Amino acid sequence: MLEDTTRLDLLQGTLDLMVLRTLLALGPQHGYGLARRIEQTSGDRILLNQGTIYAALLRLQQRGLISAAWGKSENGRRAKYYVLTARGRKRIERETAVWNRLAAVMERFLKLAPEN
Amino acid sequence: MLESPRQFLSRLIARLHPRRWEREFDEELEAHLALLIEEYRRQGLPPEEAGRRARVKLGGSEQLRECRREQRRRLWGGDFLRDLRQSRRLLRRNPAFAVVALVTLALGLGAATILFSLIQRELWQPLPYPHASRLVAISLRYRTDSRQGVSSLVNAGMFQIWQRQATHFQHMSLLEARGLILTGRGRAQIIPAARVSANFFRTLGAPLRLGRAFTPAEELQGQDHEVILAWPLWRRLFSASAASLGARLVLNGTLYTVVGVLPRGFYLPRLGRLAGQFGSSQATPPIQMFFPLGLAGWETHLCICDQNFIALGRLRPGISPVAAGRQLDLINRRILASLHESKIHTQTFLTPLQRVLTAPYRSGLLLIAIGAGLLLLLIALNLANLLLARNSGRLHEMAVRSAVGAGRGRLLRQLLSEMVWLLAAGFALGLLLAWAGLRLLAADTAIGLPRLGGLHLTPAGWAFAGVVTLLAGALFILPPTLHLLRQAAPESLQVSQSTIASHRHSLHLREWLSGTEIALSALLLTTALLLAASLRQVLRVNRALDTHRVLTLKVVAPLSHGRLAQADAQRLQFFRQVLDRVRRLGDVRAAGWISQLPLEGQTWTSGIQFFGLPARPRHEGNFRFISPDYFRAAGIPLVAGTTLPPDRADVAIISENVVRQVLGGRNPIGMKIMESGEQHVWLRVVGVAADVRADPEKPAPLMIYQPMQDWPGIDYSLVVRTAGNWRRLAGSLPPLIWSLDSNEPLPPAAALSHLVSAATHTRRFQAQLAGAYGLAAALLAALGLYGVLSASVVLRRHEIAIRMALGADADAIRRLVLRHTLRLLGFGLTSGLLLAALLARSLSSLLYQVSPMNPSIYLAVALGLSVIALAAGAWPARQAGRLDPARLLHAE
Repeated sequence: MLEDTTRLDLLQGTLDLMVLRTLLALGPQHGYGLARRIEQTSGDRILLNQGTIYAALLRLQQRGLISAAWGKSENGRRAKYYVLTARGRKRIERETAVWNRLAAVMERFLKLAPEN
Repeated sequence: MLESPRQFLSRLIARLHPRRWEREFDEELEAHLALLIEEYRRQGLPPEEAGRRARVKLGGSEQLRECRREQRRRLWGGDFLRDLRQSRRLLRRNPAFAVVALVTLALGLGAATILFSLIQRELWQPLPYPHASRLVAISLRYRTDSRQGVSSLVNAGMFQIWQRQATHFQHMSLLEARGLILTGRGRAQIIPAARVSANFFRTLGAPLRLGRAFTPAEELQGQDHEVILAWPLWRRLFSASAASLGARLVLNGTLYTVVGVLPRGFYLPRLGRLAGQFGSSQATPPIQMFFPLGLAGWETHLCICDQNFIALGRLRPGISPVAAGRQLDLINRRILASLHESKIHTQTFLTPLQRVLTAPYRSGLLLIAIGAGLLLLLIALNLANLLLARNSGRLHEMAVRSAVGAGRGRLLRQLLSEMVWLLAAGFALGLLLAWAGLRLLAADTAIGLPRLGGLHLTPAGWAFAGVVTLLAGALFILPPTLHLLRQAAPESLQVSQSTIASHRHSLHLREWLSGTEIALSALLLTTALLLAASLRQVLRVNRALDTHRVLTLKVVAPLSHGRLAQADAQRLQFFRQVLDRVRRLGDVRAAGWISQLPLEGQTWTSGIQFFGLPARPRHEGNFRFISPDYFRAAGIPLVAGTTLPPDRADVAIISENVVRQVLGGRNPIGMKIMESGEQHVWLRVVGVAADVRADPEKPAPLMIYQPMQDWPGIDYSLVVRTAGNWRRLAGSLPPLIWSLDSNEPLPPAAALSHLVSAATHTRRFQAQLAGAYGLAAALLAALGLYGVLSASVVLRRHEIAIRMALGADADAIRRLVLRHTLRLLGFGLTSGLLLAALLARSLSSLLYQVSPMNPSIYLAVALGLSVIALAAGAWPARQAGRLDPARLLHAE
């Protein structure tokens, strides 16, 4: 069931929040750095096609939650750096609360003992 | 959530340079790939393997392609278009809601736009003359010791003094409407025409298209054989040829020369209305031709009599109507003094021409417009109700979406985008309806509105429809949508109890809406019934005339400015011959002539005086000229004496109210009566006839009937009573008359009842429209009520099941629902009827012999709405009574 494509739908909102939180923690970062950090944070339990991150970045950019500018990467190449906007910060607060609540609810459900 | 200007700009730039965006994206991915490869190399993989793994890691080209697609979609309209597409699918999936919403919205919007356009055209748009606000109509109020009255017509001699002395006016003109008979061009026809002062067109500020205006010399009798044609007649007679100047026309048997042509858009108000001499509902044809006043000597005789002309004036700039009126009052005082009329006081009224023309139908139009507005409000309320019902089914979906991270703004946008379709389609359809309706109205000549001809959908009409759409949209979309969003917090997924609470909340809102709908329909129904009752009263008092058994046909006198083109004897001979032949037709019971039919307005008004009685107080009477058999033909009973003896000139019949009001009930037979001012032409009263109205809504005037030999040179109407089919008779009359005089222009014959229906047309139209509004409103209210009650049954099914389990039978449950119905009905009815009672007084100018507080009407509305409401509640009650408690409780 976890391999089901419905999971992707659910993941979409999840990935967006992960990107936002990572940017909040790291400050300006390029796509590669973000993908790497998300994998690390999840204890490599989330294995991304790293390209997926660009769909999320595009989406967040369009919603005005992050902005992007060209800069230089560690290896001296040109890279696009993403940074949180004020709106993005506000969004994180809200989404975090929502997720916490949902997680709490889910937990209660998952703890339900089977009847009979 | 709107995008910031900067975002929009970058999107715009990206759209203008899609290549550049692609290039940058590729570059970004390349940098990513390079970093990945570097990392794999650091882990010790060979370059080739590191490259392969990095490409796998970065991921299928699928996501990246999706990324590009997404960007492109975004460029071409973004979320909003996607929402629109999605919502179109949603609307399609629920067509019943979409169709109901669309149709009711379009109907309401169309009706409101039509009414707005009508009001704009008829009441607000200035008359098409330069500085039209300076044009005034002059009327006089007379007051003697005992009586007072207003005349919208003036005496020509008095007017000539005004024209010489009143300096506050730039121009003053007289005019009188009069049909002329055109012969020598096919079948004889009546051309609606007006005789006017030489400066008439200068007063209006209307230039001629061709030729010249009249000269002051032509205002005198004998110099007046010129005509100026309005554009439509010019086109019809002369194919709009400039060579027609100087052409001759035979009018009333006399040669007239065409000296001028008016421009195409020239507008002349319908004169009947201006003169106030026709019933307010009767449309007079637009004037097609003008000829000079040609005043006869008797017409310029200065007296408080012979008031036959409409007087128009153009005020000097900066002069107020009140100031100009005061000046005329001063002049009038001198005139009255010179006439030794010390007992009569006059006051002049100058009314802006626009107001005079719009006054008769102003309140009617506004009433209809208010009705349309209320109906639209009702439609919006009903849609809000429907939408609330529909939304409660979507609460779960919204809560889930909200839980997975869709922001409120995002949800709001999606919900609103659905409604954008509805509003756009409703707007388009409503405008289409308005356009079609306005075209139909513009072509309807039976509606007595003077400026209908040029009616069309104006830019202001478009704007109005747009604003109304948005307002209605805001009214019916925002409350349910915001309500849904408030309820759609992720928490609502947790406990089903809060969902129920939210449903209860929405039900409460719907109860309010439903109650308001009932109240509004009570208001509209009360108005409709008050108007219908007034119509019934008008028809009731005119019942005697409302018959198919009597046929009327107007025969126009070939008259030229007060002089008969034929000799009197010849004319009388013609009248007699017509009667002889008509009487020989089958089924004809009686036939007679009269100078002016009942309900055609007050004319030939003059003071009446009895021999041996004091001349004061002055009594105004209407004079009519008849042939002896007229009363029998028209079905007017003679209550005393006999009809006029044939071939006697010095006799008269008076109406019952003369006996009552002037003679104090004494026997009039044998008394002598005369028209004041007519020196010593005493008429002997030989009979008394029942009262007959000149206006369907005013008391019958004092009437004096004289033999037609006294005045044969005017228009007469043939009145025929038949025992058979009136239509067949109507077909056989014109050939009969043409066999005697082929130059008679004959309008179609009409039953006497047509006079009643023509005179009550506007009233009937108002009552029918208000009735339609009322019924539509009641239907909408019933729909809303039904929706609320069935939703409440579904919501309370648990409670109902428990009640049933505890022993309540189906009847008790049904009573439960009915009580709910009655509660809503009670709230709606009480507030609606109270509102109606408060507003009804403003209707009183439109009511006729019906009190705005008539209790039986309020009772009827209450009863009718109760029946409708109980019918709407019956089905939900039945459903509730049929619930199976065992299954329900088990399922829970």
